[in-house]
Order: sequence, then C-alpha cells, then structure tokens
Amino acid sequence: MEHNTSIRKSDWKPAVVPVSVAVGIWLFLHFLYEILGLIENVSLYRNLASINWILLVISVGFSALVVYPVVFFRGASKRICILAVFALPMAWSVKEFIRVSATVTIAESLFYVLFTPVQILVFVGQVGLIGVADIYCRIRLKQRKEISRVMGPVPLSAIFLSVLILYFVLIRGGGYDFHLAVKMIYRSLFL
Amino acid sequence: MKKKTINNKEIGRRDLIKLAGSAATLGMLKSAFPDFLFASSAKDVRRPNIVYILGDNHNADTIGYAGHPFIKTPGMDRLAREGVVFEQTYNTTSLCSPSRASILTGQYAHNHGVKNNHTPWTGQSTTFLEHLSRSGYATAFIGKWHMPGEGLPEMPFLDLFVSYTYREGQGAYFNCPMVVNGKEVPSRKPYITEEINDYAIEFMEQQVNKPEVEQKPFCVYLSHRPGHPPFQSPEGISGMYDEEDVMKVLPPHADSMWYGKTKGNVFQGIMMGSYHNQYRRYCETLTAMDRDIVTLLNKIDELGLRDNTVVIYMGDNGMQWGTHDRHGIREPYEESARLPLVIRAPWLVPDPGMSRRQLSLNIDIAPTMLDFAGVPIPREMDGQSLVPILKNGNLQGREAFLMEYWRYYPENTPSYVGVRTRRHKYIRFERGRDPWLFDLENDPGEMNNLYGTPTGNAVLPQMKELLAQLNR
Repeated sequence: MEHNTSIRKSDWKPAVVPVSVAVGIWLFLHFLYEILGLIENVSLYRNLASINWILLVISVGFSALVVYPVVFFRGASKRICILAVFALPMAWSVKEFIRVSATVTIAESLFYVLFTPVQILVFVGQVGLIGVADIYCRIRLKQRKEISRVMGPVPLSAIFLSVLILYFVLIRGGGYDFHLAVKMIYRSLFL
Repeated sequence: MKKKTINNKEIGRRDLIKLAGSAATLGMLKSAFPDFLFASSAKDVRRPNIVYILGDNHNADTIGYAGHPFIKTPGMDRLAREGVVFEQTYNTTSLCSPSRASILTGQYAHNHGVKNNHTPWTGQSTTFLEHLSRSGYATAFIGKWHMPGEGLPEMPFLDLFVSYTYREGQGAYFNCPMVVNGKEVPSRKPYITEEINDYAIEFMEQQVNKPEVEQKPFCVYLSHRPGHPPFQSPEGISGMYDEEDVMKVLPPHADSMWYGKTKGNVFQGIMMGSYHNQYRRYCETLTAMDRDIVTLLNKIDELGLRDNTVVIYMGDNGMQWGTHDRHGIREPYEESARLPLVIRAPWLVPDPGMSRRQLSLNIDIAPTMLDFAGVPIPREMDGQSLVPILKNGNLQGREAFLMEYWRYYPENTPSYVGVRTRRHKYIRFERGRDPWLFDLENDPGEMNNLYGTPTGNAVLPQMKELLAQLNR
C-alpha cells in the first residue's frame, strides 16, 4: 500500500490559530520589552522587565509544550504538530538573521542563526519538548482509552538527544568549548 | 690628613686625580652612547627593573581607587597611592589580541597586523621585551599570550616564557596546564593568578640572588586572566560580593535576567543566568587577581627592590556592563575603550597619589618601557613615552588618537575607524550604522550623537581632517 506523504492545504488548518497566537504573543512581548525601557521609575521597570523576560523565555523556548498538544488535539497529524512547533523558532531566527545581516555578510548571518548557542538552545530545546508534549498527549489519549501504551522510543529518544546536545553546547566547559568549536568552523569556512 | 678610601682601600691625591680623569672620560663617553651601555646592575635606578601587570577586560572604574562602591582591590589602591593613575588611558583597538599586540609592539593594529582575534601574530613587529633583552635586560613573559597563531610564538630572547595554549590561549581559572619555555607542565597551584604570580616571584628572586657581576635589570610581563569569562574565583573570594547591591554600579535598566542576552549581545553558555550575578563574579575574579598583586608588591619590598622597580598595572580592554544596552569590549564607547593604568616609579614621580588627565594609550606602553630603560625608541613605534608626563603632570600630552576595529565574528559590532580628541569622538562604521560624533566634555555618557546636527556639523570637518591624518 502506498502512503501519500504530501501535506494538503487543509492539513494546516488546525495549526493556523495556535501558531498565530504563539507568534503574536512573542512579538507582543518582544516589542513590550523595547517599550519598557521608556519607564523612568527604575524599580517598576526592573519588576516589569523581569516578568517580561520570564514570559519571553517561556514563549520562545517552551512554546512546544502548548503548541504541540493544542494542534494535536485539534486533529492535526504529528508531522503538522512538529512543523507548527518550529514556526516560532523560525520567526525568531528570521528576526535574528535580519539583525545580524546589518553587520555581516548573508553567508555569515546564516552561519550565525545555525550555530549560535542561543539559536541551538531554542531549536534543540524544542526537540526535547516535543518529546515531552507527545508523552503528555499519549497520557491524555490513554485516559480516553484510545491507546494502551504511553511511553515509546521516539519521544524518549527526542528528550535524550536534546539534553545531550544542550549539555555539549551550553554546559560542558561552561559553554566555552562549543564556542571555540564554532569559531574554528567559522575560520575554516570564511577566513 | 685623613686619607680617603674607596672599597676600604686607601687612595692618595694622585689616585684621586686619575679617578677624576677617568670619570670625566667616562662621562664624555656616556654622552656619546646610549645609557644602557653603562648600566651594570639592577640597583642602578637609571636601569630600573620593570614589572608590568596586565589584567583582562578590566573596566577602568571597577577598582577601589576609582571610587567603586564595593570591589576590594588593596593592591591596585596601593599602587595608586604610591604612583600615578592615568585617568584617560585608551586602547586603540578594542579587542583582546589587537590590544595585546599593540601593548607589546607600541604600534596601531594596522601596523602590527593583528586586527582581530582571528588574524595571527606573525612576529613581524619587534616587542619591547625583545628590545629590552637586546639592551641587557633579563626578560620574562608570564601568563596569557592570547594571540592567534599555531600555539605560542618562538621568542628565544626571553629568559622565561610561561604561558598556556588551553582553549585557544584563553586558559582556565583552575588547574590550567602551563607551557614553560616550550614544555607543557601541569599547574602547580590550583588558581591561575596564584600560579603565574609564583612564576613571577621566582623569576625576580632568581635575578636578585645571582652574583652581583651576573646581575642584570629585569623586566617581568605578567599577564593575568581575570576578568575574562567564564568568571570563576578561588575559595575565600568566591561569593564575597553576593550581598552587594550591583545596581549602584550597573545602569538602571540592567534588569537581572534578560539583560546582556538581548540587543545583539552574543553570549556563551556560561552567560546564562542572572546578569547581576555575572557582574558579581566578574568583580570577584578581579579581587582574586588583586590578592596576588598584593603578594607581588610585598615580595618586591621584601627583596629590597621597591626603589628601583617600576610597577605598572593596566588592562587590555575595558568592559561594558549594560550601558547603551551593550555587554562586552568591542563598542567604541568609553566603557570599552578606556583602560585602567597606574604606574609606580618612586624616583620619577614628584607627586605620588595624584593622577594624570593626558590622553595615554596602550601603544604608549612599549615606548615607555624603553624610555625607563634608556633604550632609544624605534621610529616604527606609534606610541609615545609616558615618562615625561610621569615626571611633570602639567605637560599637555597628545591631542588625538586613532580608534580602529575590524569586525570579529560572531560579535556584531561592525568594523569602524574613528578619532578621539581630548573633547570629541568621531566614529565611522563600515556598515549598518550612522556615524557617531560625541562631545565628551558636555556629554561624558555619550548619550547625544551630534552627527548631522548643526553643532556636530561645525566640528565634523576638523574631525575628518584629524582622522585622515592619523589614518594615513
């Protein structure tokens, strides 16, 4: 039997609203952060900025935990769920690409969005969170008695892989080892 | 009549006449040759010992003597009390490797060729250490080299070369493997500042303990790692600023978490977490370094070298902690470009404990060293000796200097070139930004860019002219 692997336009429908809301919240918080700088009361500013920071981190770094289950229970396939999760990190990367390309070449800007630790943190982090979100969805399905087994090798592998990569990028050597490795690759490509 | 004696030997009138004649001949000869040919021992103040201590990314205001509200730097404070603080000291290229090369060679980066942390040190320019070595100094380079290239350079003229290649020459705060005269050896002390300080002290002791006929003046170049990230300090210092209110120092908008990770500030893994704590840890590394400066100064006293040893403390770059929404060392703001510099030379300075406001630069260090040693300053050096200003605080000093920077991936400060006068700063970026023009007398915080304004337009032609002259 042959499977149809292409995605039809209607397949995206369950993802449109959740993705738009997620990107919209991020954009709102991003611009709010810029505007907060205008507040002259330092104490008020710092409190608001700290709250804003937490919300920004959640919106960019942890959106998978919300987007994936919402899109999934709106009837989307897992492939659509995964693509929907990466919409916000992609938007973030476009913003970063535009910002960086004001200073460096297009090729270097691309290298930047692919290899900067914060970019990797956002993208690889989503992989692990997709694993967590998928387990959550399976728990819900099991409660509804639609499936019998919660744990599977795919979501667990995603979590493990994500933690492993983030260890090498951010934690090993205080992040400095990875920083040096990226600089080495940069030099071999661009100098 | 009581006979005169020299070295416990009685001498007569005839001997005295001969001696006077010899002294006069020697005097005439001395005026015809460089001073260093006549120096014989480290006790000769005209050929002083030199101890040059270099910090890393040390913001010029993050020192006790500069009025910082909580950092403890008794060693640097002592130097300031007994020496002279140069309040207006700048680097000419605000980045580690170019600035270090400028310090060693006395040249602008466009002349020595180390334009950023990717472009290698070729050894094409002569360091002041080599000049001193040729003129009879015992020389030691101890600590952070940190210039790009394959490992460490060949510097056979050095009597001692202690450095490290770990992590592209950045080293590590704890248990950093060392390279001593080309041989890799394990660290003897756990913390890096103690480790390299010990090498400096041992070198000084060796020089002093040599038989008098073998003694030479010495120069120690002691290059520290604090305050480079990731900030780590030893037991007893780690955590000592936990309770300090960093908002007394950081700008009001430097909130605790997100700051330093936005606005295009690149960060490594370790820069995650509280920005305020990052600043505390930074201060702790500087205090750790200062603890070893105290030890070193005490050792200089103990060895009886205080009155014939120049001691200099300086930073390679400043450090911007959140001002203008920036974190780092690359932007041409005062916080990045201005350096701490204090020089103690008791026999030269008429007013210890005072400061100098003349513009001084990292490229002035090499010619200053040579001037201390009585070695002619080569024409290739772009800097000027600070010795005349040390002696006389009323001298005018230079009018302007060149600021240059070549972009350094992954940081996103564009390449720039500019000129800094006593009053103004004009910066022209390669791409992505409008030029800057600041009146530092009326706007020391560099908040009001005058470029394109009537006030700015009045100054701009003169600044462009100066830039063209300096950049020739």
